[in-house]
Amino acid sequence: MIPVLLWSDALLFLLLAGVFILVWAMRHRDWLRDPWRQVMKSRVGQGSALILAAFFAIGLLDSLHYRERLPDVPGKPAQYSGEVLSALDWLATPLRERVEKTYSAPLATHLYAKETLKGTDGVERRDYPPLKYPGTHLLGTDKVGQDVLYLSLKSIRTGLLIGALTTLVMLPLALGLGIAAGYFGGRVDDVIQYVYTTLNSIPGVLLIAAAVLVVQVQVEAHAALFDTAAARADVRLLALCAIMGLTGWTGLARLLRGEVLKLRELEFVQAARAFGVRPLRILARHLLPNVMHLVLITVVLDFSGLVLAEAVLSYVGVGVDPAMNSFGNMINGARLELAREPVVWWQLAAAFVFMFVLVLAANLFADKVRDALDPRAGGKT
Amino acid sequence: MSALTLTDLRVEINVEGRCLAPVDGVSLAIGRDECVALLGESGCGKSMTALALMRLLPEGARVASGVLELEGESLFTLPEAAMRDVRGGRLAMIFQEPQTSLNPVMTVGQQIAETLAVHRPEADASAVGRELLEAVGLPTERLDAYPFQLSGGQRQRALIAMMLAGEPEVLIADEPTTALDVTVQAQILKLLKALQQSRGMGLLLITHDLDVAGDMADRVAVMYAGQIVEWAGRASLYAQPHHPYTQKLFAVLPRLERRGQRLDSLPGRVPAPDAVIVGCRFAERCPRVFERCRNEAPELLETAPGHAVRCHLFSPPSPSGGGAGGEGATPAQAFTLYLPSLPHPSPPPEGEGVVLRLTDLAVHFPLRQGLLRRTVGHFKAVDGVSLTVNQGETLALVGESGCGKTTLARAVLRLIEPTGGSVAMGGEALENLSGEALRRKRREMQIVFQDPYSSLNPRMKVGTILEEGLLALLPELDRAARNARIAQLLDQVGLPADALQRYPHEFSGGQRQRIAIARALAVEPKLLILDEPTSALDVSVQAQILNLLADIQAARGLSYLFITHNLPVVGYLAHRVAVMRGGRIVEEGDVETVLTRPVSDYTRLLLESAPGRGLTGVSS
Repeated sequence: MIPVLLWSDALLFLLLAGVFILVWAMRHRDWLRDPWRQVMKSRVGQGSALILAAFFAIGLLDSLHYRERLPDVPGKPAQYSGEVLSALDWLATPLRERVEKTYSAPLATHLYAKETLKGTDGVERRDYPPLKYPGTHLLGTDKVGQDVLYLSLKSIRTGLLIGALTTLVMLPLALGLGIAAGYFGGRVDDVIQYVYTTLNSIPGVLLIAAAVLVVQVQVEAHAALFDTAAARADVRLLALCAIMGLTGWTGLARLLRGEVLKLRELEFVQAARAFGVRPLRILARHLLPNVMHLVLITVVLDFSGLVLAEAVLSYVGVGVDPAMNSFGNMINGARLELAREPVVWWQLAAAFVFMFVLVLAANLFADKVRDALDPRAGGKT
Repeated sequence: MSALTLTDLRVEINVEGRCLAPVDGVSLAIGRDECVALLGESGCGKSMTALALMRLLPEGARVASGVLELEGESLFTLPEAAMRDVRGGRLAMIFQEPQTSLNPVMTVGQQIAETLAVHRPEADASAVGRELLEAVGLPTERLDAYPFQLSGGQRQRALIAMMLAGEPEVLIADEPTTALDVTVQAQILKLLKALQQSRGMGLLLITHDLDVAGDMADRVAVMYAGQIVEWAGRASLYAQPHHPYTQKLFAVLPRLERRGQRLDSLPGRVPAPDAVIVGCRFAERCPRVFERCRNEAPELLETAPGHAVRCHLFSPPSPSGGGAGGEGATPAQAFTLYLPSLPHPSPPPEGEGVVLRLTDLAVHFPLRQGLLRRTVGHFKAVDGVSLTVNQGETLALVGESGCGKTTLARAVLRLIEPTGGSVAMGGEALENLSGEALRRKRREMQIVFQDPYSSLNPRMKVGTILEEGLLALLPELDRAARNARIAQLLDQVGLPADALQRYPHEFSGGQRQRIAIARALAVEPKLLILDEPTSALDVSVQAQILNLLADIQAARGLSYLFITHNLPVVGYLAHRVAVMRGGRIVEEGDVETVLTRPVSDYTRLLLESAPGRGLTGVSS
């Protein structure tokens, strides 16, 4: 087999390395470490951290990509499969390979729809055909018989990537522009307000659709650079994150601008100005820490919004690659399943439960972090 | 016969399973035609008492025991539906903030009609409304005005009119004038007094201001830590306060007559509501504490007709004979007002060395209108002010809110760009400075703000806060030198050395103000601008801060530009005073002249409006 490093994998590992360096740096600094200790002391903090860690572990396993070596043909150089697999795929091989014919309910022994079967006596009758792997599909199977649990696990990486990368693109813009607009006022404020009003007045879906289509054309024009389907889907995902980040900073920026307008008149900011503290330092030392609670809450709430936005975009056809597993694609697929009679509910339910657990854990964890970072709430939680 | 009697009120709050009692055993009586003042510092439980009377206690708090009778009818046992008829009708309450007590989207008339509809449905709303507005001294056409069209004083009048609509037998006023200017305060107080007398209402005035209580009340109840410690007629109390706490309250007041004296101070803090106290609640801070005070809680006992006090100095010897210390302190000793006359450390002003010189300083804010934000005029916040501050001198800048005094302070520091005139610091004009030169000049002047809660960044430790100015203005100092200087500063402003590692919220208001002063002093300025540094503090804390400021001035030869609206503080602390109105200086001179023989009408009005003068010269 041969390892494959997709762009998003590289970014994800870079992010991980960054977190590790931060943790390492904080190790011996009490004032930075103590809030996190406090988070970890509470039961809610421990529980939500554990769930988040599980999600991230799955996402990371799913980011270790490789291509299988095909059986050697004598006299020819080694051939590799065009299909890119991940460590998660390898671990979940049974789930991945136990494919049924079509829909089956969770833990069912038979398919969900009746078919015409020929019995041992040769008589044709309509009945539910038995499954090849009865009782093994915890969350049922989808239209082409894939295990829904496997699809859900694969979707976690997409969800995390969309949430994390989009936030990474959006956050510096929102923080920088929002705080600067509020603090400096005047011309700076005018320009920044003009930019975000303009951005807000263009329908976001339109902008994203245009950007994704441009990227798609570029990918096809440079097909040599992207040799596998996975690589193409990956670039499309990154483009989607980038464009959602570039259009998504306005809400938070406006919130921060308003808060900073209030904060900058507070006397501790005036006192800092009277000391001649430089503006950038005032932004970083006095304003940023005092708006962090807003940032934390908004980012975590936006996280679920982003995953859902991906579903809407998939519906329009500009979301992630249709072949890529994602909660958005699962929800999008569920649209037709809900229209069937009887209703196929488990794919939607699975996407819902996974997203709910992820977002809830992130919310609870962020709450605890906010409390721990707020000196006024110290010791209460 | 009393209109309202309250007996043994105890309010309890459950916080995380613990039971706190912010009000514990309060008894009061308000006569039919009487004004009773409930006097106390913040956190003593006076507002909680008022809310309990209205049965409007916040969530989690409840009346645990006590009897409240209004004209013989017990109110605490009434069902809520019946209480609604009493509330706003027979028993009404005025709150502190006129800004937030009126609904901004309803006219004054509508809000009066709302009260009428509940309590006097038969009355003609517009006729009664006009009548009430006349009674509170508002023009009748104000019935159609929205709250934002009224000034602060007018709003408070409108609120009083609303409360009168139900024809209350007893009116509770919770700090009704604290948010108002001194001249407006005098008018509102006079109005309340006149209404109380003409309508035969009982008035419960809740205040922290000894002078306001002295002007208004017939009887005064002094509260401390949830209990009434002294309960007496006004004349009796102001002539001879019995309780050591009340005596201290008088002794810490700054006055013109106390110039050159150190103000008495009241060390320590009010005990926390969850503190377990066996003996007297004031014992920890009492200058005359003896053994019995720590072992046995005193009762509120009548020492003279109509004068009750909760103090062992006046208690009969304990029946068990255990309180041996009680014999050492006879009541006669307590009758002398404790007033130290330590030499004031401040030197007299020497006319030499002008530190700050303002010449025709002006700050005009453009008023903009329309889509293109055209400038249609200017608001002249500061309009041609010339002042000098000499070395080692305190210049007080006095004026009411909106007169431009804070704008002036910020313009001096170049936190706001002045539009005209000149600011010269140590002979060097500031308006031409920029960048690095301005930063260096900032070392010479610093500011202390009014609100000790918003002037310290809640997310920075005290050590970092104190270090900030040093890092910005004295980058040549190394870490050791910085730490040494910060330690010295903490010592100078009287804070413990372990304060450095703590956050501002862990300190009381007075301690925070000390931190703010230390922060300003860190860069060794020549001029300190003090923008109402004590108006957010209790009087006992104010005395400590004023003493500290006097000490620092003596030790460092610092100049102060002291901005305030509080004339007694000016009389006590300042050398010269400038009175400001509408962006201009209307009178300037040395303190004794201005405060005793004012030339301008406005200064005279300010002086006459100041509480403690019996409201005689005030026109309502």
